[in-house]
Amino acid sequence: MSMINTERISSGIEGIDVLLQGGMIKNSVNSIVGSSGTGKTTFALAYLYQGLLNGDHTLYLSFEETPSKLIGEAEALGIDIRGLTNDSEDLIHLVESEKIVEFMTNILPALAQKLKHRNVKHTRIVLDPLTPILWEFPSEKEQRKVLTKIYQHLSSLGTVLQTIEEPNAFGQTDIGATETRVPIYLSDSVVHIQNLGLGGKYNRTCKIIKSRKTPHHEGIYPLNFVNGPGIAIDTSSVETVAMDTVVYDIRYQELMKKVKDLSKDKDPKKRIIAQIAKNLLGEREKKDTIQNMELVEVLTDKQILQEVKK
Amino acid sequence: MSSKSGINSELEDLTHLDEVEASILFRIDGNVVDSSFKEKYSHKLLRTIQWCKANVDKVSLEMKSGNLNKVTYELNEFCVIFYVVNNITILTTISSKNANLSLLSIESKRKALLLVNYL
Repeated sequence: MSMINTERISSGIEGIDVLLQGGMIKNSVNSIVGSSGTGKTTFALAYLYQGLLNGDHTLYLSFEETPSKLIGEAEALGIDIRGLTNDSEDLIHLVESEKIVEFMTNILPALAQKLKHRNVKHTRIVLDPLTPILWEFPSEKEQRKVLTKIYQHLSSLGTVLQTIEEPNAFGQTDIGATETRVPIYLSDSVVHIQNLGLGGKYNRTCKIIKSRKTPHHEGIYPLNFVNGPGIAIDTSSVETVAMDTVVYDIRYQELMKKVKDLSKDKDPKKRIIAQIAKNLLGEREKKDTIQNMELVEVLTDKQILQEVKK
Repeated sequence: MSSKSGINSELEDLTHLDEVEASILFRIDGNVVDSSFKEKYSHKLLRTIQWCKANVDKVSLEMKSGNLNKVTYELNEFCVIFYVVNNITILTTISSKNANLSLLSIESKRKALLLVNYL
């Protein structure tokens, strides 16, 4: 699978960068589609957290939940937003539903212009969820017109991640529903997450259904809620097929991030594990670290760490 | 032992058999009561499981009208055995095509008789 040379940013979600061949394309519009309880907001919060880690400017627009509730949800999954910033609640802006149209069509473009003048390196923008905006425009024609305008402003400002609610009953799916059709069509990449209700590793799954300029992986991959990164996608079935340079780099970066988090842990045993893992990973340029990477994956496995804690 | 863990341990027993990839206790409307899978994740198996989930209602109706206890399907690389547990649940065993189906049928029947005690 060859890689098209486009500047990319890490999504912050373990596994997604592997599936998207290096992450999200800078200044693109990316959608997370799923029904209730599939993990869309957790996805968005992990994306925001990665932005804070990278020193990006972040703009999280919540159309339903309050900032304190969202930060609380993130913390429950180990995404420590408060630990990275002093004014965590200023990161997330609650936009009231009756002001959505005005906000999206007038205030946001003005805000985009202001940020452009402030010379911000890169901005991550989150719209969570987009669905109430779509309700304001019942006809698909209108939706398309307004969303095109909004996306033009936002993508000139930064990389957009939006969540879209899939209007279906538990365990069922209809990706082509009226409520999702237009934003999916206009997005550069679409990740579909589902709760299949099958239990075990087949319970929650993730599939890339669209990714412009990227020859992405086509399979359905297990998705799990994990303490720390929030969400992790098991891409082990991809990695056993081929380990090209891009996949190697992404895996290396993901592992280094994991090890870095672990080295800050209160538990001294975990800090020792982090040191061992760091030594095993060694220099990035050394390609013989592939075997060691597998060792580090085992060492930093959630279950193994729980055993250590015991 | 709760009934849920009892069901799960019976299903796990089935998946411990070499050729069995998954064992799922379905309600006849397609909802999963409990399930057990082999360690390794497989896209192809997921597609087969989704087929089972989508069709278990039709299969159970056919079984009821034909007064059948067991139905076997061959799908791609897998073999699926549906075994009636009671009026509202069906045990589904998914194995590789090369599995000894006679042995699996006997084992499915034995598990169905055990599972009914938990329901």
